[in-house]
Amino acid sequence: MNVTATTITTSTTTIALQDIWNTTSDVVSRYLFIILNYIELIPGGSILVRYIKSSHKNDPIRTLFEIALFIFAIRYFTTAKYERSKKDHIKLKNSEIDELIDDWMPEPLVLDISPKEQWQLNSIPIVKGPIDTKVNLVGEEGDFLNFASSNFLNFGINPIVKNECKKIIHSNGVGACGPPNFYGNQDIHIKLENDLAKFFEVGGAVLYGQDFCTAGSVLPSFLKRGDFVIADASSNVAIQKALQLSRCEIYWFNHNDLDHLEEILIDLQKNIFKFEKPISRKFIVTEGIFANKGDSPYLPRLIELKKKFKFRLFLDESLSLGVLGKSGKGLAEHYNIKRSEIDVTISSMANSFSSSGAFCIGDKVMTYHQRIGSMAYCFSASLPAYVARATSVALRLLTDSQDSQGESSIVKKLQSNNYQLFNLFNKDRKLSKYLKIISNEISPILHFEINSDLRKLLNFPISYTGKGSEIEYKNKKGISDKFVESFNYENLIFQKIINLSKKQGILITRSIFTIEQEALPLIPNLKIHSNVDFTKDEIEKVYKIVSKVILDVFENLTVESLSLLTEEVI
Amino acid sequence: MSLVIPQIDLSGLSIEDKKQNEFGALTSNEYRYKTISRQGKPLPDPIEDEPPYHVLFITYLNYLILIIVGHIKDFTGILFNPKNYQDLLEQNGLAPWYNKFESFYIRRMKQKIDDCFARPTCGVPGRLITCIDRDAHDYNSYFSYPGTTSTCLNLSSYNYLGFAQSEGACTQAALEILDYYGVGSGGPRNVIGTTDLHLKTEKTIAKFIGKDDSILFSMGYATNASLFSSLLDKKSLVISDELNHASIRTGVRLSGSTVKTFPHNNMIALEKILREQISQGQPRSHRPWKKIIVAVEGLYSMEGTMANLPALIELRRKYKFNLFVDEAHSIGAIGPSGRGVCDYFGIDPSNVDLLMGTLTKSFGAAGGYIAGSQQIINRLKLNINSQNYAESIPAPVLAQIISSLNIISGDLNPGEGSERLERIAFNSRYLRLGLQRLGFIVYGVDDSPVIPLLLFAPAKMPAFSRMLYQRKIAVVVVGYPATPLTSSRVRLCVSASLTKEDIDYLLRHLSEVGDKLFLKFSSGIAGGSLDGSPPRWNIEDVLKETPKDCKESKYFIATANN
Ligand SMILES: Cc1ncc(COP(=O)(O)O)c(C=O)c1O
Repeated sequence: MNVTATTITTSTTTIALQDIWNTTSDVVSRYLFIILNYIELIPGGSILVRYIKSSHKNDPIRTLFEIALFIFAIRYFTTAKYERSKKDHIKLKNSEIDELIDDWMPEPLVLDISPKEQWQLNSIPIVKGPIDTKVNLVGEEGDFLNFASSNFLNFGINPIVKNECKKIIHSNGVGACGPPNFYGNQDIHIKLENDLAKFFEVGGAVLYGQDFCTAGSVLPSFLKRGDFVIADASSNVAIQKALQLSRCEIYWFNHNDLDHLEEILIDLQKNIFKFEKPISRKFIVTEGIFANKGDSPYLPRLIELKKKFKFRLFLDESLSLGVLGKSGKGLAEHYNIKRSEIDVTISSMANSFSSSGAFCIGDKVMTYHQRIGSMAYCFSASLPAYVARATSVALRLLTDSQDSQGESSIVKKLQSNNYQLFNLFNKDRKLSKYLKIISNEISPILHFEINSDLRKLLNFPISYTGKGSEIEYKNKKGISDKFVESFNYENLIFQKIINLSKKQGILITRSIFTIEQEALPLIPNLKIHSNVDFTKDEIEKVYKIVSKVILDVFENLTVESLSLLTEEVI
Repeated sequence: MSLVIPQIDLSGLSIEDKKQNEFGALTSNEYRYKTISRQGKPLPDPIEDEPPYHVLFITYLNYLILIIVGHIKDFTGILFNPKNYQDLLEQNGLAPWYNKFESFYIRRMKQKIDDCFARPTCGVPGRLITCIDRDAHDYNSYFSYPGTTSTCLNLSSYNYLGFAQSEGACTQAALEILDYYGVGSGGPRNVIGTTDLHLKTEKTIAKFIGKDDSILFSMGYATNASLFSSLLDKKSLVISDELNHASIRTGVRLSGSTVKTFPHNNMIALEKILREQISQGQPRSHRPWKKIIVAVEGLYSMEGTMANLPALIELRRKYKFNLFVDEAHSIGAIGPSGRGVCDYFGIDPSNVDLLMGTLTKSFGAAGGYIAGSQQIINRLKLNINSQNYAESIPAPVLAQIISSLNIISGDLNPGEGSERLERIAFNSRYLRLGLQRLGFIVYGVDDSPVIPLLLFAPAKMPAFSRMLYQRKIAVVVVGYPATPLTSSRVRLCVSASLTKEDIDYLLRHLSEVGDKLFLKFSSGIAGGSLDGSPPRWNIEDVLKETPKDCKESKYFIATANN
């Protein structure tokens, strides 16, 4: 059409152009149809032919243009990579290459543990025997009250669970010796999946071999390029890695700040989602009880937002199942929300359920898709059958402990222990001079961080990770030595508290993370884990001893004394 | 008829029968073979037999028909019967979980043969495996379960040394430890998940492999998935075999380093990449790479091929890169003393920087490990993600690992370990040579316990799997996308728990099925033939001659001149 518009200008050229136009039109059409006849002979060619015919529409320029585009596209895809790398390529003679190879000296694969880090290796507790509320440690006398384990319901040493598991080893051996899709799927695993679906009233469940890799396998099986995720800015590393693998668009909302979440949602709705066709997959990603903070999001509002903006909700309930809700069904039950409202729930089986591995629950279509599309499910062996049975029995024990109101006596006991632990420390005014409790009262893990004023006095940065941090700089620059002095000190303070508590028979812990892997803001925490099997007295005892140790340590702490910590802790 | 998979009670079996089903007793000392170390010599390049053209043509035609029919069905189905296609359509403003295009292969091809995948089983996946019968309905869209089972000869589990057992020293150890330590894991290793048993297992593994120390993880996949980010950053380069396992690819991607792949086992291509990359350095800046890791697998589980370790360490010496070998399938299963590819090739493990392996396979346990120098292991103990965030291996699993390792090395039940090793070596060679002589195309190394038998046309996968299932043999069929489009295959995983008679039974049935499905089309160039003509032995001759012949490498043409 453009052509005809330009032909109006002069009459002589018009005629000439008209001629050329007609002949090309003729030639193109004739050859085109000959080619098309051949194409039609290929199976499936008729679809192609129909497409070409409809696009041709007796407009040779358009056809030529499309052919040119087609050729260009092919050229682009076949040559682009080559040319790009070629431009960057320096031509070298063979002798020069040999010399460069001779000169090349790679860095060692890892750096030696420096004297300043050695304490970290030395302070890993080594348990002799079972991991119970009381443990023995290698190289230490006596037993210790174990306030460090996440086996909140202590099912791992329960005689009923043990007996059932022994039966399974008697009938199935230990390993499953194959991935689920290749004969590794035993009736025991299937029973657990059914038990989980029934317990949580959802369509299906899928088992995974390790808790940490579960998010990283579930999320990427649904989120592809062009999809959207809005995640809490204090999410755990497993989720961060999952999003890194997902190749989708990622937005972060301030920790538990659902107003901020809504703002982002409104913004995206206005600028992107309104124009989408077809619509993309969209997820809000958050945790039931945050591994890094011990607090929870306000679930009713999350559900409302996800419905309003047509998002799906992904919830990591690793630390809240068996802990929250009257029968231990997690954050959803805590807020009286049906599990089916949460599109994807994942949880570790190594915490409340005291076995190993993890699961993902949700509707049938979602779980079915994982059996084909989820990497850690398809490419890894099934869990040992007895491990699956351990969780099945734990679910049965939880169900059996319910009274007529559906309230579980086990979970109730744990919750009351959690409250007691929280309240004892929370009431203590003297402690709050140095430490702040950041976890909720419903959390089974008590998280302390050093007061921000005090941290400032000690010259600790606002965050060790995330934007503007030293570690981010090191990662960006590819500096191999990831040691951060102040981070080391802050951890040492907590380790000193841990060691002094241990001297008095109490085992507590701190946040242990791989700082260079964390991309979101984080500072170290001191942590005390609750357990259903602690008596009131034992909780009282941990409070008395630990609070005293905390005061002792902080009262004598100055910027100058930080450098002495390394020696004290070893 | 129930739609729920039944729970099967196998307790009716006598102990003797149970033991025999899990691990067949050796019928004659003739049926053992001690693998010979290659003493540093590389393997010759494997010869891959090509199928005749008509087979390739039929294979492509197969796909073409499937694709066309699939698209027509999708198109008309969504138009006229959207109710059945709800999962693919937007609902209440939500995008479908997976889109029509991505899932096309799964819906239109895999689902048609879903009855051959994920067969539910019960009991021990030992010499025999008990599959729970099921009836497919509505083109495999759902199954029902009559409550019966089929006990099949097991060629599908990664039970190389036959440690999948519920009787014997390992089981006893696991039970005792369970009684004392409890069932599960206490938490991440660096928090409260480390017990004395973990350290003992790590030392035992390190000693077995011949490295300073090792580190354990609760899952093999996750071992690879978290390893590389602890070692590498974006100034590092990974050169990876194109057929490396998904876990390695995931791990490398998470590390943020640059990745180059080389064609499977092609050492010339690898060297070319090394020369190019070391001399050119990082893209744009041309600064030298900080670190280069070459990542390979010891034994490739879809191909039956092995890493060319002698060539690799030669390159490593010359180019100073770090070598990573994933021994998931080779540890325990390969080498005169079961110590993996280093053992097989007679190479000192100090030539490999990172030896990774899984405990799910030869040891009948679960989890993965990395063995290396003390310096590497110490660093990993502090900074690998799995160590800080993932649950540790439960104690009973450790008991299984320690006891199976001790059996292999002869410290426990002397003689049992070498019997297992010699039986898997014999079984692998016997089955492989038998198949070659019958005329099948098989891939891989003579001593590989993984034997891929090529089917090519995808339609033969379900036919093969179903026919063998009727004959009480459980096999794994794999096709695209796990293999190249045209080379769908059966993967036979040999186990030490099989007896020679089991393999006779297997060969007979494979021979019959092979005739029915026209699978015997090898040309003889890749073995099984003495004079270069296509081998088409009859089954009786194969069974008579092969147990003897398989102990001599001259009958495996591919490596005969070595
Ligand atoms: C080469 C390789 N690496 C790692 C794995 C994963 O091991 P696991 O099943 O113990 O998770 C496998 C399993 O199939 C494998 O083949």
